Order: sequence, then structure tokens, then C-alpha cells
Amino acid sequence: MTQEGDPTKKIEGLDVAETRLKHIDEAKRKKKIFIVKVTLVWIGIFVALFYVLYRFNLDFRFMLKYTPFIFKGVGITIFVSIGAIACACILALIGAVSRLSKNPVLYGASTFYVSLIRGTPLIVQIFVIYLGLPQLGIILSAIPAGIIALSVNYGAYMTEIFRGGIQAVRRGQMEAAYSLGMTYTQMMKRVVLPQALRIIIPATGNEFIAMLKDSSLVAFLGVWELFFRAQKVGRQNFRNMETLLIAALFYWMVTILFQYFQGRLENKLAEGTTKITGMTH
Amino acid sequence: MKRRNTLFRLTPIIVICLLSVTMPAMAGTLDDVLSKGVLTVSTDANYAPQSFLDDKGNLVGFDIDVAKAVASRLGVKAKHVTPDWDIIVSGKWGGRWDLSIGSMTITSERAAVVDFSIPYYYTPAQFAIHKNNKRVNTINGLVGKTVGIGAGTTYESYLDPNQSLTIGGGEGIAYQVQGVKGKPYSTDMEAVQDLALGDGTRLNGVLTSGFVVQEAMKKGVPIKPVGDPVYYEPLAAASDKARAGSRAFIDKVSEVIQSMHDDGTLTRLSNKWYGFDVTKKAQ
Repeated sequence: MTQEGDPTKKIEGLDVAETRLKHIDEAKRKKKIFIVKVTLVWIGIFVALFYVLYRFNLDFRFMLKYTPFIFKGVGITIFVSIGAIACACILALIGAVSRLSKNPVLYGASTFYVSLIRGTPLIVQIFVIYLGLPQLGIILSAIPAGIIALSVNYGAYMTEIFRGGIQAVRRGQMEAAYSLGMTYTQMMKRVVLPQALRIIIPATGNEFIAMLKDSSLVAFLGVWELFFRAQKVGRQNFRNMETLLIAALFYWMVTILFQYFQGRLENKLAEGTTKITGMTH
Repeated sequence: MKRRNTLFRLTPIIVICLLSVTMPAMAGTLDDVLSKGVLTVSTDANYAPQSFLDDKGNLVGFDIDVAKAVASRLGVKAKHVTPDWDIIVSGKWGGRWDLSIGSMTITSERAAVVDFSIPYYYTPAQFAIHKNNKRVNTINGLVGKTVGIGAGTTYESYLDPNQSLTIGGGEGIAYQVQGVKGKPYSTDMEAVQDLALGDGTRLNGVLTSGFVVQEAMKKGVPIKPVGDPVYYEPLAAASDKARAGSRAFIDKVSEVIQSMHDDGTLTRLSNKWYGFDVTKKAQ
């Protein structure tokens, strides 16, 4: 008796199940060897990096002395980034739906928004919101101005991500939803968006990781986040290199942490879609 | 479910968000400060010993102490904020802070957007070269060479033949050397670090405050001063011209600074941070 979808060749005289187990063990072993090899590569890269840093003539005692002070900026950096990405998601959802809409006002406004904000530098936008708005009577302090500028900027890029995700959901889903009598809002909320999330989440995670670094621009508004602390301490001691490297290291560690969480989120969302032998989708 | 419902639900949230944003103060600056009981002062914390961060990350320095003394004589507490220098120097602060006590040189270009108090101290403008440079002995040796400066400082204007530089009460500056090429950096500190790479590697010299040169040498940066200071700049407190009551406020601050000159407070603070008196005009 053969099993459906059996990937192994029929070996004469051998139990098919036993062959399968052998193949799985083989695959596990190969994976372990691969992990060991990759780890060796990473160790090699780190050794090379340390050698390069050693040649830079860095003052390590100085670096250790100021590491705690620079580290205290991590909290604000994460706070600004999370605040901005949350607002950016809201903007992106509105923007994406508007970009796909037949309403001329919504379509026109959202297309203009995406073009203008993607087409101008983020630092310019930050200064416009911080320095320009007061001339209209709206005065924001540094952190709100920074979060708003970052949200508006990332919202434009993420509008295209959300739009792509929504458009990737098969038309058949929309038609089926309409034929069941759902309104546009119900269809989006219950059918399209949940499926679009599988494309949107990885891309949004990527944007968040980029946002962590772009949040450093609020240093120009005087916020004591990671980059600001590193820059000030570095400048006043004439050792920019040391302090900026410390800041870079913290940015990297925070990024790795979020990458891990993003990976777990993606796995959770993909739970309903892994291949089960014998089923077709 | 009608589409109207969503917008109706959003409107109160939008209104609350807009209301939580502050509006510009309409009353005079001095009245605001006195009624709030807080004087918010801006400072750019790059420069020891004017304004820098100590080991624990507190803002300390000559400028910080002067600000605290001014505030206490006005009967209020001092609070510091740290925006970028470009934002401080271009005025239109939007009422976010009341006063700049940050070693800002009085120039007529800046006086167009800020109101200056009387000077509270003076800084020599000093050329510096790499420690191992044996060829240059006077500042004339830097003619035709590249010298680093901080962007937006008077040193940049001094070296740039296209920029005018009128300091203080309209005293002209004798340009002691011409034809030196200025290369701007985001601050003087980056220029100093580039000079430290070696004579001619990126720079042949820097032009910055004499105190910055001394501080760098103290911290082991391989530079040395060359020649005498080329000019002295008066440094003053500044208030945002765009804000109501700025002139009256800055005149009050000038009174306070004058009293601090007269009773020796400024000299005392100067000795504490510089080791000598920088608050008297040098000849």
C-alpha cells in the first residue's frame, strides 16, 4: 500500500515508513551541521571586526565610562519609534484604502500625500513640523513634533505596503464577500485585511526596524535619545568615534531583539497555512 | 452601519488632539516667566567648560551656572533644554524656551532675529594647528591652507570673504589674515578631531574659541595654538525677537547681568570654570 504524495523512491524490500524516518534524521543532521558552519562564519566575521576596531586606537576605558549614560537613551528611542509606527499604521490604512477608492477626493489627496512625503527628505519634514507649524499657531514640543513627523513620513511609505497587501488578496474573496451581502467596511475588516496581514506584517516589521534608526533625527530637536547622548558626550571629549560606536551597538541589539519578536509573530500568523500532506492549499 | 458613524466617532478624538497642542503666549515674555516661576534656558551641550554633560549625565558648566544665577535673581527657577544650535541661532523659538544663555556672539546678522543682552563674557578666537606641525609659526603660514570651523559660528564668517562680520556694538574687526580657506563642520569639535588626524590629512588648522583649543589639549588632542587671538567676541544672552515683550525682557536680563558683573558673581564663576577671569573685556 503506497501513501499519497510519498516523496521517497520505492526501495525494494524496505519498509517505506522506515525510509522516511531515515530521511528526516538525515535532514536534521544536515541542518545541525549547517548551523555549526554558519556560527563559525559569524565567529570569523567578529574576529575580523574586533581586529579592525583594535586598529582604530579606541579608548576602551572611556567607552565603558559613558556606556551607562548612552544606554539610558534606549528607552526614549523605543518609545518614539513605537509611537510613530503605530500612528503610521493608522495613516497607512487610511491612505491605502483611499488609494484604492473610486472617490476622487480620497484618491487625489492620498496620491498627493504619498508623492510629496516620499519625495522630500525626512529631516526637512521634521524641521518643517517643528519650526514651520508655530508660524501657523500650532506649537509642538520636541517629542510630539518628532513622533508626528516620523508617522507622517513612514505613513506614506507604508501606504504603498498596505495597498500592495490588500491588492494581493484574490478578487474572488471580495466577490464572495459581496455576494454574502457584506458592506465594503465589513468586507475589509473581516475578509480582506486579515489575509492582507500576511504580506503587511513582515514589511511593517522592516519599516519599524528602519524607524528605530530614523528616530535618531529627533536629536536635532534636543530629545535625549540614544544618538543625542552619544553625540554630545563624544563631541565634548573629542571622541566621536567611540561614543557613536557604542550607540551603533545599542541600535543593533534593539534591532535583533525586535527581529526575534517579529519572527515569532510571523510564525503565529502562518499557523493556518502550512502544508499538510494530502491537502491542496 | 452607516459611513457617517465612523466620522462622528472620530471627530471628538481629533478635537481633543488639536486642543492638547499649545498656543503661543500672548502676554510679554517677562510676565510669562515670572508668573510660571520657571525660566527655560536653551543650551547646546557640546562644549566644556561652557556647557557639557558630567559623568552622571547632568548638564554642568559656566553657561549653566550663569543661567541658574540669572534665574535666582529674577526670583524663579532655571530649567534647561537642549535643541540644536541652528535652531537656537535662527530665532522663532515658538515660546518653547525663554532665553538663550549659550555663548552666543553678538553679531548684527543675528540681531535681526534675536535681542541681545549686554555681554557676560568674552572669548578669544584662536587659530590652532597640529602639534607636530613645524612649518607654520605665524597665522600667515595658514594663507591658502584649509582651516576647519563650526558651521554658523563667527569663525565661519571671519574666514568667508563673502560673509560680513560685525561684532558686538558695531566694532569693526581688523582682518589679520586673508585668503585662508574655511571648511565647515557641523560643530568645532568635529573640525578639531579632523585636525588631530594629522597636518594636511584633512585640515591644516582650525579656527575656534581659545577655550576649545585649551580643552582639547587638556584632553590629549594633538593640537597647539598658533599666533595670538585674532579677535575677541562678546558673548551674551539672547531672547526671541518674534515673541511679545522680548526687548523689555532682555533689558531686565541685562540689568541682572550687570549686577552680576558689579558684585563679582561672574568673576567668581569664571574662576571656577576657567581658572581666570574671562568676563572683562580684554585689550
